[in-house]
Amino acid sequence: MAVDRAPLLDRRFLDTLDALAAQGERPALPLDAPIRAGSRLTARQAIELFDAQAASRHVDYAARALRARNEGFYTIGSSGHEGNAAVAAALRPTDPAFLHYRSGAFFVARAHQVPGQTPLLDLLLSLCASSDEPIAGGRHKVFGSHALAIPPQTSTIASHLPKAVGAAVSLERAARLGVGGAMPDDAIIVCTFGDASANHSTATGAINTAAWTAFQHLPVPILFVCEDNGIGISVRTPTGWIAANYGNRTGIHYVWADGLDLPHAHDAACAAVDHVRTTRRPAFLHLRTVRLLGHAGSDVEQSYRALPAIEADEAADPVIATARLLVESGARTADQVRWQYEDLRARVAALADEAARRPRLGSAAEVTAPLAPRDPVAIGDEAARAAAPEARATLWDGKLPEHERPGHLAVHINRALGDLLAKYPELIVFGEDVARKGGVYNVTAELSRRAGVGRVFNTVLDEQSILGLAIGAGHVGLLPIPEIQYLAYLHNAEDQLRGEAASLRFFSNGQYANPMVVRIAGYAYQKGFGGHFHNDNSVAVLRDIPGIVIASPARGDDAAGMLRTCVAAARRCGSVCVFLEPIALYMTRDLHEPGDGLWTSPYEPDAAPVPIGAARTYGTGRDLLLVSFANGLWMSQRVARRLEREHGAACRVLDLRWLSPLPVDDLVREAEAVGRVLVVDETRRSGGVSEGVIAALIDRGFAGPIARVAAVDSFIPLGAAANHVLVSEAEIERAALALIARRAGTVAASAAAASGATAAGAASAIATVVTTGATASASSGVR
Amino acid sequence: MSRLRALIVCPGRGSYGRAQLGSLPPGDPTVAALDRFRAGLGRPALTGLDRASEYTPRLHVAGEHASLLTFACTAVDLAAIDHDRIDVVGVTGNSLGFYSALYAAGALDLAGAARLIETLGHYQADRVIGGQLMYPQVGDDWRPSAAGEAAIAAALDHPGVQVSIRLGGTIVLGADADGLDHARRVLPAIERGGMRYPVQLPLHSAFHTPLMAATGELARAELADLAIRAPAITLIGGDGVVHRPWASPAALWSYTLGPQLVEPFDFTRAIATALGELGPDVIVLPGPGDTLGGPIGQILVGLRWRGLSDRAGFLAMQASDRPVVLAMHRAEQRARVVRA
Repeated sequence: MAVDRAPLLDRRFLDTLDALAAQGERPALPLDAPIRAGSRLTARQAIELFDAQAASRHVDYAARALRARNEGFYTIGSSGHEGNAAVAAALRPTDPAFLHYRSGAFFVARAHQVPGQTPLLDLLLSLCASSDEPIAGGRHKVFGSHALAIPPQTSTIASHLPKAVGAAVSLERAARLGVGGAMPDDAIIVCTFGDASANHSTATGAINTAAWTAFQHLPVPILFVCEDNGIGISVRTPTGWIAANYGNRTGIHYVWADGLDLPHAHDAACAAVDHVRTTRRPAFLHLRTVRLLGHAGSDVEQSYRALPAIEADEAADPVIATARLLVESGARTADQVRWQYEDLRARVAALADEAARRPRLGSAAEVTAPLAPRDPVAIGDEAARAAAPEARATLWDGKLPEHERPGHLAVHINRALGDLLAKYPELIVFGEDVARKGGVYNVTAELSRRAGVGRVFNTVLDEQSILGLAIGAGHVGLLPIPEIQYLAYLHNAEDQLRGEAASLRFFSNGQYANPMVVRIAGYAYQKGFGGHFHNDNSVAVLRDIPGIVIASPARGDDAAGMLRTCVAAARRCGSVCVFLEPIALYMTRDLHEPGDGLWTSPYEPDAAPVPIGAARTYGTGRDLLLVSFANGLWMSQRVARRLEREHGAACRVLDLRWLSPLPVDDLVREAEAVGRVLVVDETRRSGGVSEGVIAALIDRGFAGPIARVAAVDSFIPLGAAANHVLVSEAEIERAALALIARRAGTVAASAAAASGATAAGAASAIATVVTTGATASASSGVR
Repeated sequence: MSRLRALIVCPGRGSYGRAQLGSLPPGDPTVAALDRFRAGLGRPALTGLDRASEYTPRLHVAGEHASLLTFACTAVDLAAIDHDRIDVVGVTGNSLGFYSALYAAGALDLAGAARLIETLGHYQADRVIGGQLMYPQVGDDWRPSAAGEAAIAAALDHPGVQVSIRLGGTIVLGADADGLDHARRVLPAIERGGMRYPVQLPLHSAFHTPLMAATGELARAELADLAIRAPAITLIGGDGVVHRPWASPAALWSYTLGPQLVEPFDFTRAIATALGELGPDVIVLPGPGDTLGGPIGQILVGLRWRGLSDRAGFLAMQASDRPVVLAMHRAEQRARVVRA
């Protein structure tokens, strides 16, 4: 049977004090004197930090007691990592801190630097998942506090490093753009993680990005703190690995600190912090720790570690080490230390009882309240607010885009981005190749020259870093528009949206926001440039992220308006928006015939805003409603005209425009008006948009016939083979006619019943228009 | 039986009223020491004031007398606490009560506390600067009142009006003469608990506002050698700072005679911090009267401490066998605190 090590650890502490007391009193050390000769740490500071360390330890003990009583729900603790209190002491409480899950002592130590804080109660409320908990409101056990500049992190390993680097880069950029002020100009970012997490690709990517940036002599004031306890759950970190790997990285100053020795940890942390603050370059603080009490309360450490190894770590307990230091230096007597330790035990126990009594989240509505609150009126007003004429005139060199000839999608996005850069001095545009090249498809052409390289700039080739930069930029008050070059490239970085950006408002109960509009070039149908990675049509990974806005324009005029709305939602409501741009329509000018120019439109800077979740309807036909978006809209309009001209069928076409939230009211209204719906979905049949559309219609009680055409569940092959798996106009047409025929069949059956003829005969007469071989996808409508 | 872990909250100057006449026990050594101290300064003995046949506001409310009188009542009660039953885990106070708290926490001895309180109290003799106006920002049920908050915001929209004390569900405004006129004009007259608001505290200066800057300067010069020590018991200031037994005495002196005088005294924050850091079983109110009971109840309700959500819940808890606030002024509650 596994032995609970917590009481043993507690006993070891008290036994150590007994032994120290038995040695007799030492001469008292003045509290303003260094705790050790030559150290920057005073006796008073050491006592204060011991308080934070012991508080964190007692909270760990309480977490286990609460779990045993089924009143607490989280037992991953900070025991053995309490040396991180020294890192907090080396920093200022206004330095934003992105902390990992063993940061109890750091959190308490920082709280002690700010008046009126109650870190003990706050941590215990967090363990109890109480809705009174001040940062996450009971949604998760996190270390976070707005007053302490600690954005909450959940426990996705190392996923917070990209945004920490992004915040560091953005801190400097905001100051240079004159739009800083969210935090002091000389603030630095601190980001903590473990030795096992240091191997995660997200961590290595983020650290690489910091080095890549610093290597170019660009400022990145970030302190990485690797709390090295030598083990990740049950897997040992190779001895010396962290030092060998990070001890000599270009652009990153490495500092070793013994987190088991408070003065050493403090002085090393101060040196590392000084380096970052004065040089504005990154440092890597390698903080030695031990992991005590296993990975979590449920972890039976003895099943994979030998007892001597466990006991050796316990003997190195940093809380005991600090107690010994205090007594042996004469800063405190053993009795004073025991009083401090027992006082904390009593306080934590009392506060744990209080926390366990506090309310918890009581409904789905309460849980989701901070997810993505949007104020449509405020967003509309903000979107309609024009940029200053002088700013526009300067940006466009006096040649305003509204005087240009009608343009295609890429031109409209470019012009809208330019106007947004003129409107918001804090807005930045970045991604791979977006600057001088103007993007792979020229969408950002000339913007870097017009707005400056400080605002439109290229990034490292790493999507996690791009999205991390966006999150960090949002944290410091910038308004980021990152570009992901191709939809397929999003997938290696998707957690930065899902686990980080989209979750921030949720896990901070609305206190933190990372507004952004992520532009992604996507979808298929590129002529002469095929293959999966440039024609990806999978959006399932985005559709189920709670709270995000997904815009998917097909036309230039819509794109400009929707982009303005997304930026307004980001600015006013902190929204995280994804702007999916159909590559194949970037340069498309014509709709039905070459030269008709029907897919172009004049650029109108003052056009009415496009509300989030509002569809756009074309035509008033009553035979069939075609529901689509992006490339499907273009194809559907062409098919609709053919159906009218060749078969006399009057169709109505609805452009969803927004994939999340879907424009359900508009969709249902038009469906009810027409009675039959064909969903034209260029994304994959499984997990694609049509699943959501059809589910919405059914949920709202639409009883008419529904069918869909969707892309085959496949990756997109190269060349003409792509057409085998993509929705084609012919397929749309066949499916449309089949739906119309089904209606005709119903009518024919009624007529046949009245006349005594067979329904099949009547239907076949009407359905002669249906081309043979309607595909499985077209004929397997829901009804 | 384990001791009750108690937070001590010392009252401010306004708590010695007509009903408190005769509070000081005859022959009490603390009172005798304070009387000797006053005699040395040529000022009337506290005992005489306390035993006056009539309550004379001009005398009993005036800062030069009421300050030390209030402290004396507090100190007498502190000495009566039964430490076999009560474990004092923290100390704070409201306004003048912070000076009493310095004494209760061991940061000042009796002579030091008397000197500090008498010095600052005597500055008030015929020199009241501006004034203090109280106004509720919660409803009768102690839940937030939008109307109350809006009225206070309107009152603060004047350069001569500042927040003086955040006192639970009540705001104390500090203002100069123009500011007082403005505040009285914009604050709608309302009645709460049998009292009509806004209420101006008689003979009170605009403490905890910049109007006290000159007073502070004077005090820092006169009390430069005031021997403030690190507290023996955790002490919480009106800025929410927690002074632990290893706290810097210099920092405590600087706060006491600096920001504490000219910046808002956030009693609400002090109590909330004490509760959230110390987790006391009870809150003990020594000294005259129990006027802090209401504000503390309002703070508890605001924090949802022990599940309290309104005034009725607080009153029910007070009437139960486990009251959370023990006012030593009330005999039945005092009995839970003092030696039998």
